Amino acid sequence: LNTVHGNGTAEDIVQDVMIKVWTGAHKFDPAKASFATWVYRITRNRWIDHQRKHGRMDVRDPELMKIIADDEVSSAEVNFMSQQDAEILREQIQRLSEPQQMAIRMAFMEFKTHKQISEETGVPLGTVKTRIRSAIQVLKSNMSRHLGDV
Amino acid sequence: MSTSQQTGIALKAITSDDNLFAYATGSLSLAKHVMITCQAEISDKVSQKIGLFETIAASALEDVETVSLSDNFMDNVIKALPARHAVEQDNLKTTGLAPRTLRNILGHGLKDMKWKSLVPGVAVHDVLGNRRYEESDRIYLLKAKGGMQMPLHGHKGEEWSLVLTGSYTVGDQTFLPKVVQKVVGI
Repeated sequence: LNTVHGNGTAEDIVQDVMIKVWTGAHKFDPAKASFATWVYRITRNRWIDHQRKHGRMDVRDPELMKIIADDEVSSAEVNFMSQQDAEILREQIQRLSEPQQMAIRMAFMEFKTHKQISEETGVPLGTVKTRIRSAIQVLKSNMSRHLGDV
Repeated sequence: MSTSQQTGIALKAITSDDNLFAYATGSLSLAKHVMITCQAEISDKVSQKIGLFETIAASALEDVETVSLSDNFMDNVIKALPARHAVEQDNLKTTGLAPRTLRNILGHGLKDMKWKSLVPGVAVHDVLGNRRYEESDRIYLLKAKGGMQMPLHGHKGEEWSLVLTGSYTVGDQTFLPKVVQKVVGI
């Protein structure tokens, strides 16, 4: 998060994530997701909440706060990837081409949209989309033995 | 349950890899994020696809360059921790017609809804967003009497629909429960 709109914002989000992990620890279910995936979801949701607070949505509506606070655990019913498979996935990510890795990193780690990635890197929007799609396809293909039909 | 920001009656599934990737990276509007979260609760296939993207993200997270936090970071975290008794408890019912995410937003299930009449036979409840902020996506619930016909109308922008119970028909397309569908302009 060090690149998310200045260190102050990044620290605020990290602080929120740590508090969320602490207070929501009883909600974490290793059968549903790895700890890293759970923390990623919380971090992403804090980022969405940050954008909402600083965006144009109507922040006076108190109901808006609850959704982001409570949806961290519902995505996958089954943690379909073992720790060993996660290590293999990590190796596969490192084998992607540098442009693919950069696009994946900017999307997942910096929460940037395809358009924002295009603007920052000077790479055409269509190329950014192709890089991300092809990276996902390569990972799916190389991990198919471990993931099944996802 | 709909999110809208185009007049039309062509249907498209909204759970494409591109949309689910955007979901996983937090790039969708809040309203669309909520709709896909609801769909992920209902559909194992959607939740598994999102799970893959999130797992890729978590794996990439392991290799991110670390940076130092400010000296008083942990002090601030400890100060901001809520009292022990305030640790979150999820007291909402775990079953019902509404997905858990929707119940979390509403603070209750569908039985306890307060509806506003929209047109005779149709009631509405605004869930997220505000009609005055037309550039923002919003979510609202609709309840219609069985067998009724909605007056001809249009929508600004794009509309996604998730039927919680019952079904409805637009032209020759029928919207059934448990599948988020996109209604696009034609």
